[in-house]
Amino acid sequence: MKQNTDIEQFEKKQSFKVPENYFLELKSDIQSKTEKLELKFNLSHYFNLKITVPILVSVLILFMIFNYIPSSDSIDNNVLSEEIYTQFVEFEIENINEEYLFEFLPDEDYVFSDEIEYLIENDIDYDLIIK
Amino acid sequence: MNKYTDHDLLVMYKSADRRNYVFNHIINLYQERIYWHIRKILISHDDSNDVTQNTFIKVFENFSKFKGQSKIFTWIYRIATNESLSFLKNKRKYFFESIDNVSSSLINNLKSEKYFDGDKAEKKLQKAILTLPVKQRIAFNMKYFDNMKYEQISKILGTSVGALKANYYHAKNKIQKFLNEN
Repeated sequence: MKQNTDIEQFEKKQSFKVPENYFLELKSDIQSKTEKLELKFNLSHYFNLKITVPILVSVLILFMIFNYIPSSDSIDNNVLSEEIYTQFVEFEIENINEEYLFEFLPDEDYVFSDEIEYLIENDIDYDLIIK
Repeated sequence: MNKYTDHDLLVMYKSADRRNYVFNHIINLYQERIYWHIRKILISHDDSNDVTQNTFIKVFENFSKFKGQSKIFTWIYRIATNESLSFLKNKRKYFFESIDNVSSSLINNLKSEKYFDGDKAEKKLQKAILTLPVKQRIAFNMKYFDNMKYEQISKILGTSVGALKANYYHAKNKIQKFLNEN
């Protein structure tokens, strides 16, 4: 038969245990972690916003200045590319096939003036009249 | 032995060159008690080790904000309790269970715990304690094992003395029932 147990009768001893020298290690583990935290805190305090923001802005300005001032090489390159472009356009104008241009003209019946109609109908040389 | 009062420690902490000394002093004073408090909640030594370290890191990070309205010991105990409860919550969240359903996994921890040298009766008592809801279990441990006063427990857990007394009474009955039935 089971006896009723009163928990106040239990011996209140520590049933859990820890590895040997655990509390010495625990202390040094905590200390090493807090030292790292302190270092991080000091660094973040040193590089606070008041310092880092102006530095970053200056660096950004310098970067932009150096990237947007054209160098002598880039000037030469610009001149050269302009010359090539001009030559290309001239070549195109001289050699372009007119048929290509016609394609872009509106497709409609042209209405000429009465004088021109008369000339055409009577087969009179138009050039003669202009001259 | 504590040769400084809480007030002394707070005054000393204000001078930057003595901060580490104060913090080391606090670790020396409280690390064992805090560890055992956490260990009774989490059972596993490895989990308790992690949570104890986190507790003292929180103490380190927040000591400058501590105004001395309560005792340093009470304040650290409260941090340790909250850290342990958060740890259990996170662990339970992982397994999609509520915080009060931790007992089965903690009983498993107890069975596999290599750093437990209690006899059969002590193991049975621990199992019985682990069947309690977690907050009741914490209050019970503080009263039963640590012989803390209700007023002190009340400050740490933020519960009224009356509620704690009722809690302890019910916890004790549940444990005795478990021990008699098993």
